[in-house]
Amino acid sequence: MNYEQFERVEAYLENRLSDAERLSFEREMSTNAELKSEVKAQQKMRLGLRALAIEKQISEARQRTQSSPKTTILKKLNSIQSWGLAASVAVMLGAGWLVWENNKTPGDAERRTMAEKEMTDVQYKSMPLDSLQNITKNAESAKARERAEWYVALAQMHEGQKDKAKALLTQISKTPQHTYQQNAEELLKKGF
Amino acid sequence: MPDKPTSVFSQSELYEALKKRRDWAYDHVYTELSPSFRYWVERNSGSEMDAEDAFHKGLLNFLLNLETGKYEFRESAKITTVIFDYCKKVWLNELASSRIKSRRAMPDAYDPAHDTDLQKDLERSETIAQVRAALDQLKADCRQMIEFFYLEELSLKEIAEKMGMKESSTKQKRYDCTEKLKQLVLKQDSLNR
Repeated sequence: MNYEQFERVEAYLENRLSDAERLSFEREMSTNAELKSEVKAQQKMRLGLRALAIEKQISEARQRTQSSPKTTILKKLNSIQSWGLAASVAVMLGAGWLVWENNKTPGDAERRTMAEKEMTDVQYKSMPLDSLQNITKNAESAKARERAEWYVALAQMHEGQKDKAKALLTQISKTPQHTYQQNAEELLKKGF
Repeated sequence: MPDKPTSVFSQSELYEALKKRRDWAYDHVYTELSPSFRYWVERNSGSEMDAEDAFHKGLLNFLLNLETGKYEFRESAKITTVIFDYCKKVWLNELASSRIKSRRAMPDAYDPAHDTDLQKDLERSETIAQVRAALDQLKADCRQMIEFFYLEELSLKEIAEKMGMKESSTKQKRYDCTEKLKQLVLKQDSLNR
């Protein structure tokens, strides 16, 4: 498809053709499969780009109107720990409980919360796991591949796939140049 | 209508402003709906984070329908009520899929499985994910060009200034980058089939 053809399809999709041009274009499309699939492909791409533009506006509106959401479960945990601390001061027995509380291994629910907290990018967060895995293999930019890897690990952690998440986070944490090397190291310490 | 109306605005003004992606209209929707929707989700087995997700998805579905003409303005329908309904459907759908797994009863008689509009909206999100993934695979300069042109809607002249190029070169580059993106979207599509 050359530039002129591309522009013609674009003009059709943006309703910039006259009635006569539109009719002629649609007649041509009904007999030309290549043109029809080009229109479909451009339509699809434009829909995606429109959605990304709207998402950007939504995120900006959120930032303008409110602070970022905090995780309810985390807030609950913090409050439990505060009560535990108060109890330990009042009764020595409480101190033992607090040590146990801090040392116990986090469960799936806590890991889910930790993963949610790390998912700050709305675009990556809402991407299906398959698409993320495709990016980890096919993206030209190393940064995009690394970001997708990080989000695959977070998604696995979120969905209770503890062993897979741990293996991927370990791999990331052992790659010194990886953008999320430190994040992975910290998450491994906190969550497993 | 370039700026936020100084007095109370009508539903049609809000509709037009959302269509043109005016900041004040987006802010109004967020301020008006986000707290009440969060309250509703938290009373229907969800967390603050769940509410944020469902709100984002529902609002995106509504705005896409509005911009593509699938949602048409109706004087009798309050826009924020319609948006609330979109967001509510998203959360009820999430709840329904988790309820199916746990065999628990739904808090509402609504059945997302028979809501064809919602199912279409959800299918559309797959297309969006493919375009997003394709955009990530573009080289930095092309990605920048696409973002400037399609996401920020800058003119070729403005893009030329920002990227330090001649205006005539940006025209060709925009075409080349859009073609590359389209090929990557098609590739994503075939990978997902």
